[in-house]
Amino acid sequence: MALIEIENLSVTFRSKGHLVRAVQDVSLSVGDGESYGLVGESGSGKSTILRAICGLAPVTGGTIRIAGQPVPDPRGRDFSRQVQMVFQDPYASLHPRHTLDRVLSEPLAIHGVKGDADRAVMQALDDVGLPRAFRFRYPHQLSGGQRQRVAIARALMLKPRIVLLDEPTSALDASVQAEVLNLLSRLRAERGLTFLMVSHDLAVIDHMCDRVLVMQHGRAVEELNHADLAGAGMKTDYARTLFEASADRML
Amino acid sequence: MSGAEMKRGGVIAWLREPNPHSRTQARLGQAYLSWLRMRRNPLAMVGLTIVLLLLVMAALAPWLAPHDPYVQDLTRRLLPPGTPGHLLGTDDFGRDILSRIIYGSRITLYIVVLVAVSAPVLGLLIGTVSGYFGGFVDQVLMRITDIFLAFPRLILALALVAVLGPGIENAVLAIALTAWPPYARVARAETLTVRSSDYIAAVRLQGAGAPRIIWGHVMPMCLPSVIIRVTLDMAGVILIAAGLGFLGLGVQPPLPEWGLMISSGRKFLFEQWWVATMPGLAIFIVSLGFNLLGDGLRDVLDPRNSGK
Amino acid sequence: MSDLLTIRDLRVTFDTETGPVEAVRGVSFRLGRERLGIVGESGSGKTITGRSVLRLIRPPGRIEAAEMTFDGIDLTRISEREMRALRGPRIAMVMQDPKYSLNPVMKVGAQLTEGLRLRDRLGAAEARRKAIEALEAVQIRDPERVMEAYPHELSGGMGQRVMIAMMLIPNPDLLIADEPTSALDVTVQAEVLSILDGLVRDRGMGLIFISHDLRLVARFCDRVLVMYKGRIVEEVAAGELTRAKHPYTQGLLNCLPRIGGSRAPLPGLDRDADWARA
Repeated sequence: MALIEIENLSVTFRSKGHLVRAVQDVSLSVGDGESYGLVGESGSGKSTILRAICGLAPVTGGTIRIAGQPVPDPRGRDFSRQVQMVFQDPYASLHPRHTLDRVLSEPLAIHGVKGDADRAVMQALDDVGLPRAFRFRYPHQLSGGQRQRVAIARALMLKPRIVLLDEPTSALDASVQAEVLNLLSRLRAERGLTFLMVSHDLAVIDHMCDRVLVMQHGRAVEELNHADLAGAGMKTDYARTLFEASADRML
Repeated sequence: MSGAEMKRGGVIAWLREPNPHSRTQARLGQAYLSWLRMRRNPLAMVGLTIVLLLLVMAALAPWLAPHDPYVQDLTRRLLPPGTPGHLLGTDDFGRDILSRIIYGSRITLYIVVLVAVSAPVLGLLIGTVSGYFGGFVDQVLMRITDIFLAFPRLILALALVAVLGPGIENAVLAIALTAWPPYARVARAETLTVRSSDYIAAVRLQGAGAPRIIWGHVMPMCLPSVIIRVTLDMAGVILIAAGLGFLGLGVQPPLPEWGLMISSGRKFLFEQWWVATMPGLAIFIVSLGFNLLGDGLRDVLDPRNSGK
Repeated sequence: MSDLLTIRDLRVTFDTETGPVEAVRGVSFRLGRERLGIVGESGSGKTITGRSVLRLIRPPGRIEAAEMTFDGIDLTRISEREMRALRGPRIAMVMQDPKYSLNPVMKVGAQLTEGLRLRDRLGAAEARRKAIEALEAVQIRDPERVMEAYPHELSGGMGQRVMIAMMLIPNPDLLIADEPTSALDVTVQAEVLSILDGLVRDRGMGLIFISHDLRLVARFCDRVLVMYKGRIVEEVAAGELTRAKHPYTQGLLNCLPRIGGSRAPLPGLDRDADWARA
C-alpha cells in the first residue's frame, strides 16, 4: 500500500503581484519503505512539493494523503510524529543559540514524551555517529557535515515513518556527502524508513532512490525506475538532457 | 606558577573547553568568548568603565560624597570650583555640587534601570508577536505602535506627566510608555527575517505551538539587537529624565537630580557657570559611556558576528 | 615558457580571539599561460590562495610570502594604489555567485561600460559597442536587451556570463575563477564552462580555476593542485588524475556516487591517516 499519495498537487502563490505556479498538477505515490527521488533544476518545484506536504507551502489544488488519510490542516502533532524533514542548508536549519542538547531534547518536550530525555539524546548522538562530548556544543562549533548529522538526529527523535530530505547533501563537501549518504542509507535500513528525497544531482538520486520523478518548471516530466536511470532508458528529451549533463561529469 | 595563577588557568581552561559538560558551562564559555571579543575594542572598554564607575558611585554614595547633599549653608553659596572642601563648587543654597552629583547618580540609575526593564520587554513582546503572526494581528499592533511613534517623545512624556502628576515614578512611567515603540519595531523586523528561516520551519514541523516558538526560538534572536538598542537609548532616557526635571515635571526639589540641577543653575549661567555645567558634564559623560558600550555590544552580540 | 605568476611559500594567517589560525600554510606554485586548477574541500584554503594573489585579504588576515611575482612585478612590495591598477586590467576574478558580484541597483549595461568609460576614457557609443561585443563573446543572444536589464532580471547562468564578459573586457593576462559554476544548474554549467574555456584559449591568458569538484577541474585544466588544510598535497597533470597517488586525491575521486554505480556504502576519507594530521 502506498504510504504517501499525492494527486494532482498544485501550489500557487503570489509574489510581488505575480502569480507563481510553483507546482502544477503533480501526482506521485511512494510505497511503505520505499525511497523515492525528485530531481530537477532550480525552480522546478521539487522542494516546494516537500514543503507542501509539511504545510510550509500552500496547497492550492489536489490532495496529499499519508497512510490513506488526507493530511489535516494545520498539520498538528500526530503528523509530526509520522513525517519529519531534513533541510538543505545545515547552517540555516539549526538554531544558532541552542546547544545540541536543546535541539535534540526539544521534540521530546513538545510531545511530552515520558522517559529519560538524557538517555534519548545520548542515544541519538550515537545513532548518527557524533561523539557524546558534543552534547553541549553550539552549532557554530560544528562542521557542516556534523550539523547535518544533528539535523538528521533531530528529525528521527520522534521516530517518524517518513523522512523528507530536501537536498540534504548539496551544501556539503564531496567526502562529507559520502558519509551523510551512507548514514542515511544505514538508518533507512535499520528503521525501515520511507524517504522522499529531493536533489539536483542525478548521481545522488541514483545512489539513494528506487524510483525517481524528473521535474521541470513545476511539472512532472517523467518517472523512471532505477534500472531505467542507470541504463539511460529515459523517454523524454529533458530527462535525457539532464542525464547527459550529469553523466558528462564522469571521467 | 603560583597557586592563584594555577587556579586562574584552570578556570579559563574550563571556560574554553570545546566540549562542555553542562548547559551552564556551555553558556559561560560563550560569554567568555564574547568578553574576549569585547576586550579587543578599546572604546567599548572605556564605555564599560564609565558605566561601572557610575554603578560604584551610586552604590558608595554616602562614603564618597564629602558633604550632605541636602544641607544648605547660605554663607557658602555659589563658591567656584576648586574652593577647598568644595571641589566642584557650591550652588545657590550653598550645597556641595560634587556631593549632589554623586547622590544624583542614584536617581539617574534608578530611572535608567526602571526604564530598561520595562520598555524593552513590552516592545520585544509586541514586536515578536506582531512579526510572528503577521496579517491582522500585525496590522493592529503596528498601527498602535505608529500612533505612539507619531508623537515627539518629550511632548508625549510631558503630556503623560501632566496627567499623572510630577514625580520620579511617574516620570519613569511616562518615559517607558514613550520608549517601547522603537523596540517593537526592531523586534518585529528581526522576527520577520527569523520567521522564514529553516530552523523555525523545523521546530514548527515538530509540532511546537506559537508561544514556545516565540519565547524559545524567536526572542533569543531578537534580544541582542534590542539590548544594543537599549544601551544606545540609555543616553536618550537620561536626557529625557533630565529634560523633565529641567521643566519641573520629573523629580522634585530638593532631590539632587542632574536635570533639575541644570535647571536651577540656569539663572546664574553667565556669572556662576559651574552650577549648571557640572551636572551637564555628568550627563554628558554617562551618556557617552552608554553609547560607547552599546556600540561595543553591537559587535559582540550581533548574531551575524558570532560564529568563528 | 616564461612564468606569469610565481608564488613561493605563501602563508595567510588570521588572528582570532582564540589565537592565530593559519589558513594557507606554505603554498608554492608557478603559472604560465596555462590553465591551472586548484581543488580542495571547504577550509582547504583554495579560495584564500586565489584571493591572496589579488591581495584581497582583509584584516585580521595577513599575507606573507617568500615570493609573489606577477609578470616581473613583486606583489608583496607594491603599494595598494599600484595593486588597484593591476586588479581588473591585468588580473581579473570571477566569483561563485553573480548575485553578489553585480551591483543590484545598476543596469548591466552601465556596469559593463563603467570601466571602459572611466579607465579607458572611451565615449558612450564606443563603450557601448565594446560592451555589446563582450556580451556576444559570451554567447548572449540578445545583448541589447541584457544591457538594459537589472541583475535580478537575469537567470543565474546569464548573470555568470555577464560577469565573465565584464572581467574579460580589459583583456587581463590572468583570470582567477573561484567556483564560477557551482551556483548554476548542471545543464547550464557545461555551457558556461565551454564559453570560459574558449575565451581563455583564444586570448592566451593564464587561468586559475578554483573548485571543489575534482572531476570538473580535471576535464577543464592542464594541471591540478590538490589542497588540504592549507597545504598542497599533490600536483598532477589533469590527464593523469586517475593515477593520482595521494590518498586524499584518490578519496576525493572515489567518494562521489556515479549513475549506475554500486549502491554499496560510498568510500569515505580516512581523516585520521598520517597525511591528514600534519
